[in-house]
Amino acid sequence: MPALAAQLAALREHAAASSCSPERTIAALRGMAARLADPADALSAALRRELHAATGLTLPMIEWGLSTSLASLQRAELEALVQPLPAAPNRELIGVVLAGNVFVAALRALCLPLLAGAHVIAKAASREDAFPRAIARALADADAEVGARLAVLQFSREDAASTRALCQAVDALSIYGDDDAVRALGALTRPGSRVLAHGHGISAAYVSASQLTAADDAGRAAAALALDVAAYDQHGCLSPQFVWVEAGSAVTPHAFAELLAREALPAVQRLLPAAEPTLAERAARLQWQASAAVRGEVYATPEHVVSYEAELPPRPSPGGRLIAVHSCAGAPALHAALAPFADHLKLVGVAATREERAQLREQLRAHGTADACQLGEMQTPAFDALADGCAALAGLTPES
Amino acid sequence: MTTSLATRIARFIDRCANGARDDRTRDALLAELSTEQSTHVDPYRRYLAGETRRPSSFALPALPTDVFRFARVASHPPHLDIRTFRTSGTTGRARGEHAFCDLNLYDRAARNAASYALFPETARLRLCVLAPSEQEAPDSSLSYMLARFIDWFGTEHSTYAWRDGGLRVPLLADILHAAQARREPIALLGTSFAFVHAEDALGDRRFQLPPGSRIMQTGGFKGRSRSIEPHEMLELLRARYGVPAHHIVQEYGMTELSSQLYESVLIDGAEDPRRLWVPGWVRAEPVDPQTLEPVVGAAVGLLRIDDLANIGSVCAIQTSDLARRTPDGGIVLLGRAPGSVARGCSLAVEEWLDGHLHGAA
Repeated sequence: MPALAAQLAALREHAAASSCSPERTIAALRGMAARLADPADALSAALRRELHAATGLTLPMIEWGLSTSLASLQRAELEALVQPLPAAPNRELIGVVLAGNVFVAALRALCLPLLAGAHVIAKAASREDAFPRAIARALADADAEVGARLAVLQFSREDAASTRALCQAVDALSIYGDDDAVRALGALTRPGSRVLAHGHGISAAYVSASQLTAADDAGRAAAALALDVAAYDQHGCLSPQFVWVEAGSAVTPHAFAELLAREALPAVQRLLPAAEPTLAERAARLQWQASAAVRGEVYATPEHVVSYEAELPPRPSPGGRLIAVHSCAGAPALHAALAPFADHLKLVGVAATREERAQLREQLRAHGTADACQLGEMQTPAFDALADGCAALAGLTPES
Repeated sequence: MTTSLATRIARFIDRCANGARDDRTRDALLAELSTEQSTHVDPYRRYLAGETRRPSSFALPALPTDVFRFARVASHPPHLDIRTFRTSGTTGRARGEHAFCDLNLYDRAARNAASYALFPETARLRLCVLAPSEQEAPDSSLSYMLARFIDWFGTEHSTYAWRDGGLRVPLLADILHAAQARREPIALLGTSFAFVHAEDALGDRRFQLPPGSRIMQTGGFKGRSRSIEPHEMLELLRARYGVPAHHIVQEYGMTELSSQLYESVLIDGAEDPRRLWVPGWVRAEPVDPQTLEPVVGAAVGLLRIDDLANIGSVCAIQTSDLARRTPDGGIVLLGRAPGSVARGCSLAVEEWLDGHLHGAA
């Protein structure tokens, strides 16, 4: 508690006096990203070891996650993001509560409020604080003035006093986690402060018949889907939990399931090996796979399971590279199938023509907060991508 | 289902009343029953067709409980159903169903187990139920079982403190005060979340229930009340009602099963650790999810339960609950997997598929 109070006071004091240009912030963020992307750097190498120990993810998976996420801090995109911001300095203090399921999520969660000009106090997830701490350290090394705008701390979720103190101290609270956590923490904020809720989410994939007319095209779609499934061992809210495949082409939905299981996922496994599952994950797989066997056909290896469940209603995957393939009659049928998940739908990865994808994206946005992206890019969103249906910096400036 | 097998199982369950065991006969009957079910119960047949592992310690692999959510697991056609129990659910999605065409074995198993592990005395007790009545929750296996308990073990003054969808706290307080004043032992039977509601609502009112009183609690908390660790819950109940810890019994039941397991405290007083008493017609084994074989020694595994009373569905059931064996062979239940993977913003399956523990509506 004293550490939290001291950090809050230091951030407030710095915010009152500091005036960091957006250009300087961008330069510091890019310096931080370049350093953490370099596995030869001592801080960066230690980060990889700590992430492996904390998350259980394999080292190639961690390397892939770091390299793809850090590469997303492109100068042009960052400059475009800050361009519409007001010239007056942002003296706000923004709290960020991080989730622990996908470590790279901390990057965007911390960098966006910094880009918005705010000072940031972040509560790291109890199971993983290595990445946010490394970001803070590398940022301070890149530019001490920018680094002084970010503090990362960790305390137990049972520590009610610290939790309340954090929630009460900030001008806006950005919460990543389950819906219960979002509700509980949001209720603790002081009147007038803003709550940016990033609650529960679920994602899906869709393969249009236009991508299944030839074996090569189908193979590419399967490879793209396999990457999205394998990334972070399917534990993120952007991980597809089921895929609908449009029927009526040379490669049937059933054949696509076999392709995914027998070729695409094993190929990804060679590059990005799956983590050793915990007992809980094995239990979840046992249950999920049994229901899959009863509902359809199962293609299983020790590292992944694909089921073909035709047109049965979808059921979520517990993660760990378990995915159900469903057959559908096209985009309207997809929308009907997704309807039960509309409240929590975050992203649909789409293998389709550019026009089909644009149309689907428009329809998804019209009905909720979900976005659509190209299959194979679900886990590597652009830095300026929408978040929960909102622009990247929405809610992060005093005017918002 | 052959009548002779059903009759032999019924006789065996009766033979195992009062804690008797004959594991060799039990296992032979389980092998016969599961083999028959593997051909007559379609989801089980399909599951086994895709499951290549054949653990040597059992006749067949056990059917994971989630299958009850997605398929009808029954050896009889729907028009013969006389009762269908459903897992608890608040979202209306994918509730597990267990259909019965005959409740004879269910009743026999429930009565024999409870009379040994919960009501070992011959005299009837006043029962106070902190759960919905059978009329209020006709698809709850817990409500069905508790209604039978009133028939079998209750005095005429037994009653429900849960009415019209909620706990009637003044009524509960009156019942407790009356039991205290009359020095009449009472049994409080209910769900864990109902006891938490009572705990929160009773405020400063504390009771010293007469000797012989007992508490049976069952099920989880999910979405219905705050969660409380088992040891803390035990202490709260002890302090609130003045019932000694060895008269507070956790029941372990599931919609997918027909038999119940109870903590053994009323039988042997074992509290460190508390372990489950497994009726003689049931086999309970923590198994390795990779091999499906029983775990070695005190290793933690997933609880597999083979229940001879599950005659109309599948007797071999694979749960997701963690358990381990004590050196003397007892089963210690550890709840759902601790340290399970963090889901954060990723929606946990459990959010969609509600908890399966004893389907209290």
